[in-house]
Amino acid sequence: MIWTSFPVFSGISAALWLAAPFFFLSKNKKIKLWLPTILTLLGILIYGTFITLLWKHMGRAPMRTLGETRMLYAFFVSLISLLTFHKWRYAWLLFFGAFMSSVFIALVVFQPETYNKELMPALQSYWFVPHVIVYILSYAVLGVSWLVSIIGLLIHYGTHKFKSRFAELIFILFSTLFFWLRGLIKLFSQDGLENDSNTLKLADNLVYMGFSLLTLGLLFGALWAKEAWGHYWTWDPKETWAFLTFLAYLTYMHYRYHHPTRVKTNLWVLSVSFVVLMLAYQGVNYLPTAANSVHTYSQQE
Amino acid sequence: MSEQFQAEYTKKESSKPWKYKEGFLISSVILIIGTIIEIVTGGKPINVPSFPTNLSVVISITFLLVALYKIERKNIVVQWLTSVPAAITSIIHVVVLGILLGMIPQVEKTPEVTDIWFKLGLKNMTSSWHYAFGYLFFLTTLGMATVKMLFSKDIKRRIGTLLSHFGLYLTVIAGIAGSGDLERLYFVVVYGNEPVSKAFDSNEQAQDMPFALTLEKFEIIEYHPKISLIEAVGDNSEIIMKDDNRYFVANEGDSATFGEYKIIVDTFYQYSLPYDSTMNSYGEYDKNPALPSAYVRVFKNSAEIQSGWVSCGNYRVPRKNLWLKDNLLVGMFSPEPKEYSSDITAYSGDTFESFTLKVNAPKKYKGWKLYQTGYNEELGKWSDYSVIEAGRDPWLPVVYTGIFILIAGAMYIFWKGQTFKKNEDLSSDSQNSKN
Ligand code: HEM
Repeated sequence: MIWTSFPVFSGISAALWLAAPFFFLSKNKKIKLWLPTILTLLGILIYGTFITLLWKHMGRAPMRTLGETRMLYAFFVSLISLLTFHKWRYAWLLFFGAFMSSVFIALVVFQPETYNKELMPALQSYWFVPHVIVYILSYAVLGVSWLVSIIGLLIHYGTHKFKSRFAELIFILFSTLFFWLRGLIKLFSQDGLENDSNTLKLADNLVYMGFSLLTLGLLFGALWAKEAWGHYWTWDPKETWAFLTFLAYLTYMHYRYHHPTRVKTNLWVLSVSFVVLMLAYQGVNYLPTAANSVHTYSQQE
Repeated sequence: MSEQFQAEYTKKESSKPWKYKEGFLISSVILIIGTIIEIVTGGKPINVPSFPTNLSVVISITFLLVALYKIERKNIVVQWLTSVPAAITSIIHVVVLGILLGMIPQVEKTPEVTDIWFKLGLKNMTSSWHYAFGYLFFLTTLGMATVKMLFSKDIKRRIGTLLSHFGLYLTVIAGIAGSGDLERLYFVVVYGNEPVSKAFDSNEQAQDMPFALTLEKFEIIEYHPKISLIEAVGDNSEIIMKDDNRYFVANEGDSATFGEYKIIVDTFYQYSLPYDSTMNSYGEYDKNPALPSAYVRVFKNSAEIQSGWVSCGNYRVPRKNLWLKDNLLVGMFSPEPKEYSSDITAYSGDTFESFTLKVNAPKKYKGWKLYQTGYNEELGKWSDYSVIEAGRDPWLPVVYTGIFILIAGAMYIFWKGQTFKKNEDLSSDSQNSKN
């Protein structure tokens, strides 16, 4: 019954994660750098403790059900935004990472039916752990790159002249909805993303990392499918959507390479790619083709 | 730096007359031609040719792409084919096909289907002309990009991306061509029958195989089932076994608390049968149609209020619940499988060999790979037959070579990150960006 203690562990972690970036506002240099790191790390350790306990308790890797992967997703988003914060000093990234983790924690807490199946035979394979870890890591990194693209778009639209009154109106409407978002960027971007080239550089670093992991996940999946189902690729809906995600990020990488100056389009392509990713990850179960999928384990029985 | 860059950049752009418009034109043309062919042929699926035709097609295409680049490098169409706008339009073309494939449920067996979607080739996408043309477009631009990198001067710096492009090209082209030689057949092996040498393909056509199989034993090992306190909905005839957090795994001596109720498992049998039709008592038994059962005691605020047997039921034996009150009961979920395995003996000529097949543990035999794939699901654990898939894929080594090159490319990219340097500082020219 260890899942019943999830809200406690994850609640404390989420609170730490959400509080951490605010110490970046301190005047004291040491506090500014170390307190956000220490608090986020503490949250990660507490959350990690829960994962370890759960793993032990179930006697298998907690990577099978939608609920379990969501739980891991929150963990890795926090971990990666902490690493990115340390490398590039974007406190706002820490904050949005914390926010995204909290959303996923809430999903897990409020949809308990997503987490309690035993490991079915097809999943008992040495490919299982590398495949899922690589995918979750990739999704987490690409998730952070999505945040970067959204912030980039907001800043871009906020600092550039609008071609028409209409576009400006739309923007004002949009940024009013997200006024808190913009406020937070201002708050946390003391040396952050005032210019577009920084945004895209950060996005690129994340995308290249996330995309290579995505490729590995896709290929590990193919090799595993050969052992488990007899063929490496069957155009099963889950496979099709995984391939579409791969192609969406390819589009971004090539467009970006060829048109480095088209900042706005690049940011748009990147943010749309993440929509495809989310469809592949969360949406396939709800598509009309889902019944044909061998991979929607959460619906097995 | 950036002004000079902008100038160079603009020059580079305008020296390439073909861009996205031409790409989308090509996309539209092949979509229209594909649709016309589909309508004319009534949606008849096309199959990839088998060896040696497929191999010669692969070699011809590859040779053609290299020759085209080597001989006609200055031609604007060839230039365009090696460019990013061509790559992007072909990728988007494939994405559109993929979205259709991912949204429209596909038909498994083809001969009888006649609705309009089918006739347009949208219900058997992977064997439609749309797919053939789309992937030809994709492979052409991908192949041309690969060739361009291969012959480029700074190949050293581009080794990582060259690996990615070549690996992907090889994987995709070998995967498609290989499907022409791919054989996947199903043996249905029944307990106690003579060795079977007939296997079926996905269209249920029988085929004689060079070996025969018998089933010695089929086994499902099951996890212990879960027990839960369940609320019955409606007029009690409908019991919703909600698979939520509130369950515990039935182990002898275990207990769990649900609100004010506490449930203790006194006795647990993984395989048992009720003694008689009242189902008031169960005893251990390990043959068909045995099933799990548990004797539980229920406490409310520390006072025992009920006790009795619960069982999940199976195809022969009804389910047994322990009712606490009108809409509240203790029930058991059906156990989930932990392992499927078949003990098989295979005969070929006058030799034979015995082995065990499990999910995720296939076995090589006489050039074929044998997989445990199915059983009689109605009977579950007591299934009287097992389904064994026999697969043969001569192109697998080529596809795996592609996959491993692609893995190497991905690792390189992971390690190096973005390697191109042409956009170091965009802050000033982003103002001039045209869109
Ligand atoms: C695993 C898949 C892929 C990866 C990782 C990848 C990555 C890259 C990268 C990083 C570049 C920048 C050039 C360089 O650094 O040398 C590039 C260029 C390019 N890619 Fe890809 N790509 C992939 C698949 C594709 C596909 C599917 C196509 C075509 C359909 C394609 C066509 C091109 C073209 C035309 C260029 C420009 C070559 C040039 O002008 O120098 N790529 N790719």
